[in-house]
Amino acid sequence: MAVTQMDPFAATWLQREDRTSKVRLTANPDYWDKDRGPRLREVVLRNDLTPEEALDLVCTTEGEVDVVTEVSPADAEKVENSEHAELVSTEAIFTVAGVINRDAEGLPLADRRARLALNLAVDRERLVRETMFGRATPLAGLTPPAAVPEEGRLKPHSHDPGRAAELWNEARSETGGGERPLRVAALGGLEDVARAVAADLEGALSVGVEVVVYRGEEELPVRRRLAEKKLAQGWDVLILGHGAQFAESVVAELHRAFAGATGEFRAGPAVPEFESLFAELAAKTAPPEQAEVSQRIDRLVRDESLALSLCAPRALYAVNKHVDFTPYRTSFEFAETSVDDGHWSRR
Amino acid sequence: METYRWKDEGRTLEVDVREGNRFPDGEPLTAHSVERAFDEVMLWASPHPPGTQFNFAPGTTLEVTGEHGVRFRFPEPDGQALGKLRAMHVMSTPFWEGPGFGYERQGSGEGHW
Repeated sequence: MAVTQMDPFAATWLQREDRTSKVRLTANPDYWDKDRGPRLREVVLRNDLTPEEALDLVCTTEGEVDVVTEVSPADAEKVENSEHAELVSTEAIFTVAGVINRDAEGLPLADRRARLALNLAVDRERLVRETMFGRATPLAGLTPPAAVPEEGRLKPHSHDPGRAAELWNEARSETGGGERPLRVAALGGLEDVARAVAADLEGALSVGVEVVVYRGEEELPVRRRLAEKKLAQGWDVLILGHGAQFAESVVAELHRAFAGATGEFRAGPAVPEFESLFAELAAKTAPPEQAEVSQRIDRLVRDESLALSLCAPRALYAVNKHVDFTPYRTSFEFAETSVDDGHWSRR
Repeated sequence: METYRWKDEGRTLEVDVREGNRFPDGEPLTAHSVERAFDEVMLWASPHPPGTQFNFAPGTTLEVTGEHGVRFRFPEPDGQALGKLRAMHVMSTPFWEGPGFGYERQGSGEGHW
């Protein structure tokens, strides 16, 4: 199902997973770049297992599952201590952040000060430590550190609950609202993050905070309602994870999604300054100039608090000990992957 | 892709297709393979599963300049074009005549690229 808008034309696909139980990939032996591969004759993708079953198989057996993607930080230690698997990880172009509903009734979230208060209330270091088991990096705006050289990285908001309370109260007294509880919602297994954020907001802002978690089939209508932007949302902050498919298009995928006129996650009016910068980016073809404008866009998102910036989790894989797997920052690839003589397929 | 050149302040992108490559079915990779992929992707309003951010603007054209050269022309500068090209899968003729991106199974390429 696609949600479309006409001016400017944009579409967001909301898809249920409808996969065949197995997909067999056969290598192209004539691939031009011999340094990258192929080093495997074939790969079978198994869609007939739950994530729990797959993790159990890679950890406790051989010959069933060689690589499991999207391992939860909570399961990382289990992999590290397993008989047959090791943990492989990389910084990833993936962001966990909160959509701030700037149209929320009864709360001052259209006011920058209130949104900034949310960002200052969150203790990102603790969030990373306690909900990601240290396997993530605090975010400044929406650009994951993996997408920017070290010297070009923005500084995340400080954790300043006192200043957060001042700003929240200023915005509330001038624009009204703030008497009702704040609703923090989460998608995609991010309940622990939502509860940690809720505790920080409750503590800093002295507001009631309700946590709503949308699981499984409940996610699709929430995503649809947000993409359509016709009905009021049932939350004030929606925490979700989102990645970029390609390193060349981080802003077009992440920042546009959260804050752009065509953004599927934007909750509130389009932001003219954002659109102006986004148009400037489109006109740049030299990578250094693109990087400079991209950083200005990320700074705008941070400084205007157009999202609740949280963290960039590392991509975690459970990999059979006889498989040499090279993780990518963006997608799941097998290009450089090989197996050694101890692998079950060679014994 | 072997190399690329921007021209006309981001309105033109020339791409040299790597020579001597073949698809797994043996068909050679040429500029015409890229042309076919471009024609196929431009058939659809929203072909890419992530969304329309990978669409080329309406009015974008592709011209074959040689056996291994293509020239894209954009109605406005498109600095994101190289990223968009990553989402434009170049396939051999039997793929397009057969399964396509959802063609055989769904009767449509919308949302299946």
